[in-house]
Amino acid sequence: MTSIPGIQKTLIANRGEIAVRVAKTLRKLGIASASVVHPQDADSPAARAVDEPCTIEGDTPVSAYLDGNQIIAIARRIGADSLHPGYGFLAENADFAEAVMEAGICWIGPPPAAIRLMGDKIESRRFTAERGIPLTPSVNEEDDPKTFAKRAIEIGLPLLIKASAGGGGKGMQIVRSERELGPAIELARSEAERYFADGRIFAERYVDQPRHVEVQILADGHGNVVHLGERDCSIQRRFQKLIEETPAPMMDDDLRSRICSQAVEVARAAQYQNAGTVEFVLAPNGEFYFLEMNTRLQVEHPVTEMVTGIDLVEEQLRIAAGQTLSFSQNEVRFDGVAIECRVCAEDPDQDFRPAVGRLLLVRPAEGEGLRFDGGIASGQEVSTAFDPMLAKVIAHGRDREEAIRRARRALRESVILGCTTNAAFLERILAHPDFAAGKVETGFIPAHASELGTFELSPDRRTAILAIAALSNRDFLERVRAVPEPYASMGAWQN
Amino acid sequence: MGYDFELDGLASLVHPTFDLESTRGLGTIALSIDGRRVEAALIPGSQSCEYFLDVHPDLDGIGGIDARGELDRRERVFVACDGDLVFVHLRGCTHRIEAINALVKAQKDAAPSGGDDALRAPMPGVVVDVAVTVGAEVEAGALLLTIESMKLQTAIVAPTAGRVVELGLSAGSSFEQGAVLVRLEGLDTEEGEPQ
Repeated sequence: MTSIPGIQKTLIANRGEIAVRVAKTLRKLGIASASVVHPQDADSPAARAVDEPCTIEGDTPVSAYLDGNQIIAIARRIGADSLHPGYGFLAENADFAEAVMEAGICWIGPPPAAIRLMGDKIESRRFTAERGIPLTPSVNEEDDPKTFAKRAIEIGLPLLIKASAGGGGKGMQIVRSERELGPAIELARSEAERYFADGRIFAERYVDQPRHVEVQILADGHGNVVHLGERDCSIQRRFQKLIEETPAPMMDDDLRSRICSQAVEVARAAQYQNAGTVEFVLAPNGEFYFLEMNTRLQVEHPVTEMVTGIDLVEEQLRIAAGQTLSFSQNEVRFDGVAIECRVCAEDPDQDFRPAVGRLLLVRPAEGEGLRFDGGIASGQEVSTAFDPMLAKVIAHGRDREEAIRRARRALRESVILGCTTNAAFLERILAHPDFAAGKVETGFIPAHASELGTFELSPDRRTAILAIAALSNRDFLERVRAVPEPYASMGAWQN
Repeated sequence: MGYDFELDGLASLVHPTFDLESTRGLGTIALSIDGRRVEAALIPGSQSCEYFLDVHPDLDGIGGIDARGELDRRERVFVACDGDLVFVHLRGCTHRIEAINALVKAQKDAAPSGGDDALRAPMPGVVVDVAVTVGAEVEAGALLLTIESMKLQTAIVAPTAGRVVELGLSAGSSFEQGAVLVRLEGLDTEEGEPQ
């Protein structure tokens, strides 16, 4: 029997490192594991990490992992009693969650109603505003078009004019002075119409140099909601997180406690169950605003696990099986600092352009306080078919200095050969004095771009690398060996 | 013939030197890297892709066999190759180096598309022997001429089947880098198709 009554066999509807991660906990608990595997992933660690890899197909690899019907059919065929969606793909698809449940399979995640509520930005903002949760002040044009500009100014500058139906950074205009407001409104409206066929716009207070702070929530089906602390995810490029840490640096306990309490309030109000994360924008003046809630396990969950000692995937399974949380808020321990770095197949010197290649060696660093969550192995082909994240390097320390030191060493000593990665770039961020001082905000990378660029190699270093390359290159060595020894015969010999 | 290795967008010329000053042990090769002389050996370690680098003189503290031949400052590195690509992990950073065959590169740099193929000298040198005459039809891989650059000889062969249309040099002629050694005309199978 497994450790969790009611869960004997779980299908993981995902791939890569999260599939490996979930499989690890399933194995620990004695639960039979299966996953869906596209042929392109046939040799991946995710396929090998489970008892039963099941082939899925689709026009493109991504479409296969998005094919809910096919996935549910597989779950039925193999007799899975539960399904874990990982993150991304169908994890926040309420229709899929419902279909899974209708098929009599236990959904390892929140109720579909909560997924729906929090998945709609307008709805979730309205919901939280009604409950007095602070949001970035905003006004909609359609409420009273004639007074929109005036109401916008009343929010306070700087402002963002945004398309209601918008996304992906499109249809947004920053307004820093009253003079800019009129033209910005015109432009935002026309872009909204052009890109989203929906000219509705609203104005929102723009927080300059914001920090991205989020809170991990666990809620069971018996009304118990706890938080597992906050994470700071401010180090980003192109709105994607690169470095996350817990606890948030340079934050006093009062602020921390208020943000975490708000997160619990949001989850409780939404009648949330299972694991979720409430995201906030933290302004330099200490004000914070609800941004959104993510109704899934997040990429950066390992830092929370390392500081609290709690296995989040295990908690997800237990909650889904109907168990009560085994600990109260007071019993949650927070120990030390953990930092996660996302190692990605991309070239920071080429504007983070995705890199491809065949992995020749994957050798994680090992040591005290280190964790390497990867879905990659030697021989694998890295292509642009999937997300460029290769692995997460996570370091825990008794304090932030130790965590940073260990993370830097882990990045230097982890070896990935065959594809360009951002590992050295991540290490330079960690080494930057502003990072060490905890001066993090979402514009960190562009603000320090010139200091974060790759250093030019010293002539000695360059010579050493070239010597190694020449002595490794087969053609070169053949040429060397082809010359007869001893080197005394001058004159003609064939090269 | 030397080899270009491209690192960080810059090409460097690397070739073995074989001069009599080489005094290091077996397996050590004397190299000229952008004109700088070093002696180096790459010794396999016990782990996958693991190697130890001996280099003299030591470079920024890397490598370094001391005067008594003691090897305690070998630098551990990780190396893997994929065709012409070499990945090197040294002192916490990974580098990607591309080996570029100088002759192929010289042709690519110089050759316009279509029409005839000019094979150009990648380095200054002298013609040792000419194996064909103007008008000869040759198969791919056929020996056209032999040249010598920096005390090393190289056979210039036809990259594809073709007809020799220009051969301005004879045995003993010296040439500059980029000089046309021989020009071939493709043996067209279809009208107007570029080579």
